[in-house]
Amino acid sequence: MSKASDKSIVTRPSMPAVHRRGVLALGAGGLLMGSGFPARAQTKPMPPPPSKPTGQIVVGLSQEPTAFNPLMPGIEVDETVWMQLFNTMWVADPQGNLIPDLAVDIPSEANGGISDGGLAWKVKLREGIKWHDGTPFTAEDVKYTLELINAPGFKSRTRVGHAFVKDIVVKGPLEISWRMEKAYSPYLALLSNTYIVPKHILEKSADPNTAPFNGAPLGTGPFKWSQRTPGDNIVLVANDKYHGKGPYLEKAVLKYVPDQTALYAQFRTGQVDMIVGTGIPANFYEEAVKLPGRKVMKIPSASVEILMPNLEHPVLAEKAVRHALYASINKQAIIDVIYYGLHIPTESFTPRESWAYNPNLPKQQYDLAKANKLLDEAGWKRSGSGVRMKNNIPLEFTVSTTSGASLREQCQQLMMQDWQQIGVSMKINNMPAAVIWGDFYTRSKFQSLLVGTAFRTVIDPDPAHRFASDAIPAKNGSGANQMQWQNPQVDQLLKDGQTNFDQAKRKDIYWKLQEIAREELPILPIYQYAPVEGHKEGLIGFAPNVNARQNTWNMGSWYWAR
Amino acid sequence: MGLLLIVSMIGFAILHLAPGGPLSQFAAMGEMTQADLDRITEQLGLNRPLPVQYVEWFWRMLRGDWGLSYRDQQPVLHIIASHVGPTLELMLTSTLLAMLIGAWIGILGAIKRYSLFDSLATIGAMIALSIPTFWFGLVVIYVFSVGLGWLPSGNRYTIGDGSLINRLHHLIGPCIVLALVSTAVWSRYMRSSMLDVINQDYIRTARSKGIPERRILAHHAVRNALLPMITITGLHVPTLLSGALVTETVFTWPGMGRLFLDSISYRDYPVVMGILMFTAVMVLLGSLLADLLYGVADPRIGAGGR
Repeated sequence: MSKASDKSIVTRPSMPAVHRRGVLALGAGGLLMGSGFPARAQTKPMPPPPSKPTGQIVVGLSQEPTAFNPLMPGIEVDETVWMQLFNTMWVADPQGNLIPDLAVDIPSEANGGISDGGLAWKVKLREGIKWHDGTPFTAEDVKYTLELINAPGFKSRTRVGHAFVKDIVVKGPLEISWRMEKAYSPYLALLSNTYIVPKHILEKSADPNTAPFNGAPLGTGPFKWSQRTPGDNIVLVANDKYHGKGPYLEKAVLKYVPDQTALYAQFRTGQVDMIVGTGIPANFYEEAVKLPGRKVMKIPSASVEILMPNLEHPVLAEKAVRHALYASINKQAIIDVIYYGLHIPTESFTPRESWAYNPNLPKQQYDLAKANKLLDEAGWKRSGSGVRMKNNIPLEFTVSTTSGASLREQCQQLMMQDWQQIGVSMKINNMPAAVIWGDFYTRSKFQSLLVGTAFRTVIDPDPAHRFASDAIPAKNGSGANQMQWQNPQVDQLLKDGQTNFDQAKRKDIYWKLQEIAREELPILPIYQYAPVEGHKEGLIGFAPNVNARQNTWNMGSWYWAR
Repeated sequence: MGLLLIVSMIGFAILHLAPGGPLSQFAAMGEMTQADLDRITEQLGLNRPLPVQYVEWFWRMLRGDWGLSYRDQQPVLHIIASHVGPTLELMLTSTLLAMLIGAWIGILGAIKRYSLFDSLATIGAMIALSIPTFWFGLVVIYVFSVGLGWLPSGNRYTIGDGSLINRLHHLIGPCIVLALVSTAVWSRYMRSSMLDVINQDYIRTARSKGIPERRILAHHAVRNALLPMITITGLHVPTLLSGALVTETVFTWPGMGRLFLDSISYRDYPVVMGILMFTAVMVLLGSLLADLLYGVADPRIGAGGR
């Protein structure tokens, strides 16, 4: 990947009139290069965008967007809608740079936007932005949004970071400041994912949880809400008063096709123009890249597939066991045989596109002899049945994952066979999604899990809520440290990472953290996801972005070559 | 009413006691912390004792408030209403098609019992009943949409079109799939019902009186053979409205089956309960309708009832 890992983030000075959609208009070719596209994409001159919004795009999704208030609980697919209707103060481009959107620039210690050791924040907002109903956007909307997130009765998705915000002051129609209870550098990244909602609409509702807005949202984004056919599609139309460049498409249709095979069939027959999100199933990849008139590519995402051991399990608590298990996972076979070579083997929980990614971690080698040796040395003796024992405890545990996820189930089979050879008895205990990801997962009732998940705070590399000792729900912690990892050195590093605003220093911290995780193996990293997405040829402006939760992040800049 | 109460209690208990919950989908993402999950659980009132939750839900339902979906915050009745239309359109068309063809095959099979046609129809029905709908749906898409390009590969209409022709065109694929299995079922019912009738004394009497065979079949045999079919039709009413889960999924049909599956997999309790109650009411109404129709079709029953 050509994505620079050491490029500057966040404190880049503002580029006038450069914003989430404008980035592409400036250098779509450059972004395409950075996203793994062949260089020849640049050689053809791009036709200019149309002078007024023209044409439509049908985006196929295998999950249905249903949550339209961007502050309430939702999943990735809901964000496909939020991105078109709303704006954030700044957004992350594919290289991880924050680009001002509703704000004029990115607050930093250098420009005085962040001061008092990270406790005082000040943001200037862009002039001339209007809500879809024509009402001017002001600092009051930002204040209302931040306050609503923390409002006691409001079902906000997450208060991570926001809970530290206090004393919000509107200093003028386009200037806002607040104080933080403690220095928390990932907040900049969190705000790149905090969509601003209209005060003048929501304050009219007695209860924002049930406001009509939640079913017919209104924002400042490049597209406006038009209509929704539940269970089928959502139609968005161009916002001709959009503050940025574009939108160039007259209509964007988000089409829900529940079955992935059927979705791929509709992509083949041309009923949907593109597939994003969960993407084209791996088994169709070979065929899909050869489809005439379609452009199909694998696009790295920030999620990592891991084996998550429960570190309180008597067997998995032992580091030597985890190392032996890790050495006997045939990652390459899993990726090549089961996933058609799509995904990228990894040693880290941080995506390789991040500035905090440590590329120097020792590379895992598939080595059964080494695994056997590790277990022998740790005192695990083979019994008559072939399963190793120590202190009368057999070396056995279960691996759970979502039932029906056929590729993962095959992955379990491969692991089981390899582990059998080193005297480990692994059993499969799969469950439906709604069951496994309930208390079983959150309260660490599993023995081990095969799961694809992310270990960062939006685009910030901070994984405190996943790794800190006080983030273990099973021990009354507030976080998502389901493996129950407890390590004082890690706790200190996480704290340092959160309170530091200097990227170079933070990078050292997160490199060290990745080294410790590679040595301690609180998670067994397998691969970084690279799902297959595709669109019809002739679509201009599509720019995959590992720092956005959906690659529809810049849809306002898309248009069809005429 | 008592029946509905029992159905609602059992449904509510099973649904809520099953492990997992509406927040599972968010937990897997790793973005929300346990504090967020606990807070929302409390805000949704899901941490209260089950009987309290049930009584509150039931009391509201009686007053017409079926609650809001956890997924899109819309009223449950509104959600059900928006999915019934597509389902009815699909199920009614395929059922009528299946009844007509199935009845015809069944009658012919019964009249020409053990003939080549009857054997083929029997074998065909067995095959049709054994084919997994999911697989057959994909085959139809693969052959007629991807391969031949004759049919759209799913959806109810082309977005931006939606004309009658366009809708009918989209209806063909899922109709073929649904009608295949139902035709097999209806043909078997009709055949056995017809066989019962044509061996009756009154048919023999009619024949001995020299009434033409065609007239005997049309006026005496088929009409009597249709009586049990009315019961089956009545019991089939809930199916018309509850939808075809698999076919709706494969053909991207935004109907009740699809809604039910999505709501179950996301543990959208208010919607699942809503669909359950709706279906229960339909089962009762369907049986009632069958009883009433029986009276219309068979004068003897009608007279007895009066």
